[in-house]
Amino acid sequence: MKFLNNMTLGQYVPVDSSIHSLDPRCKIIATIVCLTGVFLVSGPYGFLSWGLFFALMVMLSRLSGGLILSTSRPVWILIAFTSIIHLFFTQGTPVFSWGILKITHEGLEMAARMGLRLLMLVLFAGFLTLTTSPTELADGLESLFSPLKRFGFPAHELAMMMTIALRFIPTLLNETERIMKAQIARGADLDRGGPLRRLRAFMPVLVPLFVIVFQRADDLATAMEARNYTGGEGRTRMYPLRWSIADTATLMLTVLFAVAVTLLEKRLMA
Amino acid sequence: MANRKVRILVEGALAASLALALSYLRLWRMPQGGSITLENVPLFIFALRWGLRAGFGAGSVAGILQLILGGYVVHPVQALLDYPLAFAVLSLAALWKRPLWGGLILGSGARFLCHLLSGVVFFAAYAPEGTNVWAYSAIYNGSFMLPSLALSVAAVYLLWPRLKTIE
Repeated sequence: MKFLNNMTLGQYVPVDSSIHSLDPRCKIIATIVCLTGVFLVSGPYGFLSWGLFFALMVMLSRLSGGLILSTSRPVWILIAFTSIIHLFFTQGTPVFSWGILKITHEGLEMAARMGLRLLMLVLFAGFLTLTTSPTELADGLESLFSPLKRFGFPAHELAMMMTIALRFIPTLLNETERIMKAQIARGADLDRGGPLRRLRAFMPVLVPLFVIVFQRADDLATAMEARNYTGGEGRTRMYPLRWSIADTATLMLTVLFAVAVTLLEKRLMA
Repeated sequence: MANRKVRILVEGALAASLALALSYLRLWRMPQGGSITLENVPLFIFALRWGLRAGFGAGSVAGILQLILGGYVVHPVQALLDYPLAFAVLSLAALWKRPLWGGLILGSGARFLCHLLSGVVFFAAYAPEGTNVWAYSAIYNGSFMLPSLALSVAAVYLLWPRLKTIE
């Protein structure tokens, strides 16, 4: 049983750039616009335009291209798999055939289209988490969902829970490691046997871990109440979100670009 | 003893946090590459302690955090089904506490259904026409999701009697 030492949580890379300093709400909405835009294109011009747009964003964010590509690593297999099934299973004019394997012109086209679409979606979504810290994202989501409070949607509570949860992930990882080491020192064998045996061996780790969680929850709740926390109503922030002209401009340009690419592609393909 | 509402909020946050912490800890590596973790266990326990509504909230938080900290989006419906909903529906376990395994299987089944549907949406959008999307999705998700859920159910079944008396 190995722990990921010095692991970094999430993908956020803090850099001083014009993209990083945008309001998280702007970045969340702009990402949704980009994802929709990528979904709507299907031809070479569309993908090329979005590719150039993404390259421009990357340049503005001052992050390295290699780093950005590496965030898509977990989905490479999925992308390759999707492209390959399209390559071999699309019917049409054959370009190449070998035994039962046959590659068609249409198959090549579909493989490229699906592969590119998946890659672009993953890159755009990953770009948001690379340039926005998880806490900013939680604040942004709270603010975006707060109009739904009127219908009883607990936007503040969910955001508060996200912030607390983020804060405690490293702490709980440390606690888990500490308890595991303590049990190993007492002779526990956490690394041998099948899944069920390991699970049984893991019980003496889980029980104290949950007890710690319940105790900490009680302590933290008491501390919050002692500081007069009563929920979202009338609560102010230490770092309030600020929407600036740059955010409006970025968002408008993104929407205009998405509309223009979609319409132009329709015209070119027609 | 703190106000019940604040206490539930904080404990839910910590349950979501523990779910994420445990998701980094591999209990067992599957032969085909997937891994089994105990990420579902804290969410089950929390739902059993505080009920469906609170459990649903904590699950959604865990799902959104999973997405923010390294998830991927290939389709809007997939994002919703694979992250917030998949974790939130585990709280259905709170509906059926006697026998305990009934609710646990209900929650796990609901999570599996979320991933199954998400797979169907994914394959319908990206696989060639004429593919049997349900079969693809069932094979893809079943191979690692089912053993993982089964193990979580076993873990909660063993844990719950020891934890339920703790305040």
